[in-house]
Amino acid sequence: MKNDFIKAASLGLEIAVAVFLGAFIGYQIDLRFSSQPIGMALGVLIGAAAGLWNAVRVGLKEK
Amino acid sequence: MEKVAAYLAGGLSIGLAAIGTGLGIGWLASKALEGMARQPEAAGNIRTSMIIAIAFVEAICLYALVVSLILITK
Amino acid sequence: MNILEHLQPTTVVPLHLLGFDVSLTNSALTGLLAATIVVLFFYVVSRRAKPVPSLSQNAAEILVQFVRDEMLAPLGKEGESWLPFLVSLFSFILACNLLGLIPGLLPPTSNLNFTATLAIIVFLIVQTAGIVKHGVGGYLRAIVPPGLPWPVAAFLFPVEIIGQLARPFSLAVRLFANMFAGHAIILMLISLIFIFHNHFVIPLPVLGNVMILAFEIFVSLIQAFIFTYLSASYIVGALQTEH
Repeated sequence: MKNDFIKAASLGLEIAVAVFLGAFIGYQIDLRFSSQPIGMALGVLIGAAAGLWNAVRVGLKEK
Repeated sequence: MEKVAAYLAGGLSIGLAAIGTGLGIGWLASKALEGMARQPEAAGNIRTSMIIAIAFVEAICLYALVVSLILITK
Repeated sequence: MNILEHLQPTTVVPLHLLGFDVSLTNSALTGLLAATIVVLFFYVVSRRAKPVPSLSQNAAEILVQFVRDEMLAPLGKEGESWLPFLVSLFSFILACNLLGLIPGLLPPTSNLNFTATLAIIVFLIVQTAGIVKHGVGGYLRAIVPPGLPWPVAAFLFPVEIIGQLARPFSLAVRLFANMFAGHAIILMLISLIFIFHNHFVIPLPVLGNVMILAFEIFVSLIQAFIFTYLSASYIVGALQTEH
């Protein structure tokens, strides 16, 4: 129970880091292929989906 | 002049986000504690769901924090 | 912003190797000192192992048992061979954090590059453990939950990859943010004395500094524990059958 508390309490930062990682990867793709707003916007959306998917999977897995 | 505006925007960003986060987590915890007090057998379930909901609210506050840090160092 | 320049690593020994600037900074020296202390401690303790343990051997045994009982046992039985790696990771991060509290030394973990290196090591170990255990094809198949139509699976593939990449980096950012903030609070409390240019305000920041130092010891322990616990959780999660 204490172990699940640690894993659940670290979810907030994991969601935020997933969004910023997606934004960073989208920005790098923007720099290579010079598609100015689309890459970063797509990256933010994919990062948000990744963070929320991870959080929901950890949250619904137990009990 | 732009630096003054950047500092002001940085402070306002994290300040307003902290208001929203504080209220959100406070309401969340109060409802969860009320539910745990009504039915102590479900305390484990309620506690874990509360922590996961707090994670979502906290993620939004972290976005505002990063925006504020970017504005301060500009 | 000139208070925080004490948190930037400064070069102590300039050193150039093959055109790369690998000069020793003071945070790197603290990291090397922490690594030397940990290696010497465990080596000396393990050489003179007696059935009735002495004081330092008792401390080392308590450390190993703490890591084993708190982190590996609740997570399942597959992770038991990863105990040496986790013990060394825990002791190294703990030594790095605690040595940074000595005045004049900069904690190496208050630098994002250092914690990102540790996180990349953990990431490589997690992926390698998964690939060795399940094979490359099985590991690629286990990324997406089975039984989905193929457009959803094709969309879910980069989402899952970014999710797997974000988990070790959240470890790095958590450790970096805690150590940076703690060290910055100590610096700002001491700089209050220099801002006021007065002798009568000395007791207040020094008292606050003592309390913050006690809190920082606590935070160092907790952050080392959380880093190691989440690394163990990711390793064991990669070894079990996914989804």
